[in-house]
Amino acid sequence: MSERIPSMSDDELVGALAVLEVEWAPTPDLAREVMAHVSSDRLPRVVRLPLSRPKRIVLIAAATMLLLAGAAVAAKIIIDLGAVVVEVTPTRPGLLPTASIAPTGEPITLREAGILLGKDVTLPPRLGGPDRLWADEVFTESGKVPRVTMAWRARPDLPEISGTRFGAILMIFEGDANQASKTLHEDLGVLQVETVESVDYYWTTGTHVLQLLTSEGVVYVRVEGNVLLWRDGSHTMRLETDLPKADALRIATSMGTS
Amino acid sequence: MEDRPLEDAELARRAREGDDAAYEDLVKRYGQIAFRVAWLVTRDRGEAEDSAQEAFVKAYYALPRFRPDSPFRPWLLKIVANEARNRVRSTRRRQGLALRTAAVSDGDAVPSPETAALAREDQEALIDALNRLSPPDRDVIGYRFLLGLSEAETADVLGVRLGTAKSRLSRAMGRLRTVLEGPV
Repeated sequence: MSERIPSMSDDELVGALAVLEVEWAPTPDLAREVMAHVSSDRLPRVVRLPLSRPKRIVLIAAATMLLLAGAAVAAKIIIDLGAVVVEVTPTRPGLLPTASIAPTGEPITLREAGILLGKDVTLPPRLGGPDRLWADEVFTESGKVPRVTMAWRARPDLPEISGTRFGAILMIFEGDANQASKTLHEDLGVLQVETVESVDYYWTTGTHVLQLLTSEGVVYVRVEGNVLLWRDGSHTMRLETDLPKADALRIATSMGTS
Repeated sequence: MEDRPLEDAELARRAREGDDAAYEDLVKRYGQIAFRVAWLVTRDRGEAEDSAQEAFVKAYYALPRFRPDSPFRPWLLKIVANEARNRVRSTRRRQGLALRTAAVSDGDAVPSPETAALAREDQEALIDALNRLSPPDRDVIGYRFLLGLSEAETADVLGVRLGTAKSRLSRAMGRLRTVLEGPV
């Protein structure tokens, strides 16, 4: 080695590093491969509706109105998890919707779910791989966001959720824009908060109404199962089962948070 | 250079609206730096190629979450580095491929004044010293100076706070100097 390098000042050393001619591996033709994946039908895009501008505006307005509609009817907003808001009203509703399953979008694979959510999907060990996966894409006030839904069929250790044929339904909402609003009724169910390793988990039971923004507009769904809600980074998680709270919590915490 | 952020934002906006050609432009523009970041993480050409490719696909589908007022390159490189790190973790191995100086040009190319100022012997000494550092030290110096990432980009690629990246770089440079000053 010449004597020059050890005697360099810090600035000179930084300058020397910046002009080093490193033998990099040749850059492959990434564009061809990448565009083949994002352009072909092998990776289905999720519900790209040919929406007219007026319809798009209506859907965005519907998203922003979810909160307002609830606030007008109910007394107070109890929790705001970003994508999902939970409200409690003192009185029983006069009429509950009959639909028990919300539109879930198009079937996808687990890999595609990871791509849509921008992270690898961690599965709860107790549930294993889901039997069904779907993705929907909704217009919110902060843009278009994906929502992934996974479902596990009912089995001996996973009792059927009333009104569905599934034992567990996990919805993953992206972002902070409001996409869903749950209205609980004090005389029909409960809302409890459990904190595990600094993460707040919101447990709700009892028949309630879920207002859900979908790619086809706002739908109202009657929910009979027990629901656990929590935040994981930029995602809001919603796990619906017929299990007791302790079991649902074990499933949720086994997925970890980022 | 002043126009680059705006141009990236415009391309990203068009890509989000379904203009695949706009996204292809972004892939071509940042393909090399993405591949090199992935290579520094994986030290394996095949893994680096797969990481960069998968990261561009993920970034495409994540475009709705990209904030148009923020720069595209750091956002992309963070996705690339995450993808590459996940691959290293899943394969539980990291290649020990060493850095090497580029082959001496046998053509008529005239070296830049800066390169000419750094003698071949000095270049090889620096590369040798870098290869004797621990991988974390070599990575942070590689991102910041060999790839020319900004401090903020370096922090993003490392997945740490800016202050942490700065202190890691400072310590790594100290150890590089120790290696350079030590016995060969």
